[in-house]
Amino acid sequence: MKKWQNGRVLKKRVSTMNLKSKENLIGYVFISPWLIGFILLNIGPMIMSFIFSFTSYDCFSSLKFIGFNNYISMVTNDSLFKNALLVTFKYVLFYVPLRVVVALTIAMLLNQQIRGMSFYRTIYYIPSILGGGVAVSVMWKMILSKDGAINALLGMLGLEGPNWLADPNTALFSMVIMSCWAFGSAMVIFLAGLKGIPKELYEASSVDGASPVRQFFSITLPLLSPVIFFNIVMTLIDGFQVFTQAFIMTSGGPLNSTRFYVLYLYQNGFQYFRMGYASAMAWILFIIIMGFTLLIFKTSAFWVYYQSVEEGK
Amino acid sequence: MNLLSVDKKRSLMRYHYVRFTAIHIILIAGALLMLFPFFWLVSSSFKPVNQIFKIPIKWIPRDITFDNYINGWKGLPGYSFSNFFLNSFKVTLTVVIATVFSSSFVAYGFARINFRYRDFLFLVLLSTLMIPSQVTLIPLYVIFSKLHFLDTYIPLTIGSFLGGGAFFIFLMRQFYDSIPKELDDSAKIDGCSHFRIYWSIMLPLSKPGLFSVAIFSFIWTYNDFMSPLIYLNSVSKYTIPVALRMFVDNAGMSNWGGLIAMTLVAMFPPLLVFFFAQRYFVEGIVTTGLKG
Repeated sequence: MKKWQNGRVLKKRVSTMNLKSKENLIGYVFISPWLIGFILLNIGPMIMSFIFSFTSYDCFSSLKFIGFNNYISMVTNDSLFKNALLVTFKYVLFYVPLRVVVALTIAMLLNQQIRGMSFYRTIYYIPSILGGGVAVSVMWKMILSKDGAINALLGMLGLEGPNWLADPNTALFSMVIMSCWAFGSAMVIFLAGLKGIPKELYEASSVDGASPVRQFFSITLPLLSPVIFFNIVMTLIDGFQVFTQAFIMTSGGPLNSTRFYVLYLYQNGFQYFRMGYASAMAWILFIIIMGFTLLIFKTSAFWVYYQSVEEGK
Repeated sequence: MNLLSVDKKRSLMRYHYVRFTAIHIILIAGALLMLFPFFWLVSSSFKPVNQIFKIPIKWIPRDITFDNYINGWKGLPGYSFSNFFLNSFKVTLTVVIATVFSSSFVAYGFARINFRYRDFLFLVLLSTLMIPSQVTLIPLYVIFSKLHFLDTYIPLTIGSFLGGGAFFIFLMRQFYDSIPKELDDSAKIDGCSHFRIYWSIMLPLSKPGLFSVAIFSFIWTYNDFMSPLIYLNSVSKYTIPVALRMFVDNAGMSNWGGLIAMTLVAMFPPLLVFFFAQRYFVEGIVTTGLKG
């Protein structure tokens, strides 16, 4: 009797174990495409890249370890690297705030329950569809040329425009404007965020006599801060990786004023075949992006308003 | 309280009227500014070459010509734009179909099966979103070149068979979360396997999500420039962005008209997709915060 019971318990345990491990197995079967991709296309190459960054690899000869030399020469004797870093920082410094402010402004205008909202939304979103692609870059290159459409418009106003992309003083600025032109995705996210703010707050505050400006600073801005935070982070990550525009429109010129970080990285890797050096540059970029993202995360405690925390009060 | 005098009411109405008109004026001005480069491109593409850069700009050309399209379509020596469009569509279609199936498959695993280390692995998946692609750029090139995959479409498409990227897996998992679990629980009681549930219940129910994935992967793959630039060597295999870039270098000053026309044509497929599937775009962006 006892023996039989033990046997039954055991059997039951075995069968639940089987069930559990079968579930495990099926789970891994389902995620296996990603898992394989993760190992072969993500983590494997990342380890390789880390190793490359300590070598003078050029894709043809065998690996030769040179210690920290790649990292050291970046700082000590590569003025183009410092230039690329500076140019990219400058770009990001203007691009991120401008894009976020424009996207938020347009989103707020569109959120006024006006007629034709979806029509406007479509129009403002169009540039984002084409992104920073080749066709868009070619188009901008043409309208920004000396006798291009922008200068023709300025001419109508009696102004003489510069040769935007050939002048080191305006080339970077032109690219900032062109990139901000594609603010549509940030705008759509802002719109969704604005829709989530309860209308009662505005109604109640206007009964109390709050001006629209006051409402913006006391209701909209705090309640939207998580979305603002999100858009800043995304735009920042995007901004550090700017490449196609510069590649197509200026090839980094004039006078290196648009030789962005990723463009210089590409040139090192695939034009000069300094793949070890390019790998080291990629890691520095990774650290910079991570650092900034973390910085924004850390400071977010001071300016991002999370409703759930405050609700208890 | 609501006994507003007629005067007050009228002035309030006037205020609203002025306000809305002002907003519309700003928005229309903005829209014109946004579309201005496209207007210029469209109008120039129908102009004879010697009138393209004429000042002041004539928005509606006097003599409309299709020469620019005809000259542009001829493309690069030996290869016309038909060839490049065909290449782009081959790559894009492969990636779209593979991404739709593989991302929804993987996402099912994360959404509905309770396996060991699932939550940890999902966190790992999300963290890969943070890695800039430049970090893996060089080693991937080296790997593909050692495998003799350079100048083939394998490097451009292989990722789509392996989950299609963390973005899409995340998007699909979010979508599955909105489908009630009772559905697959009852199917399970009836003896349905996970594969059956995925194929016969989840896939048909998540069409809008799949559509978002398809559209985004279409546009990103079609617009992608860096990968074909690095991996493709023969002009015969070029996709549209690399072909257009080479066309810029080749056409230079000599074929401005053709370049303008082809730039416009190159923008067509993503714009077309966008106009037909706008709703899914907005939904996709809002549910996941994807960038456009």
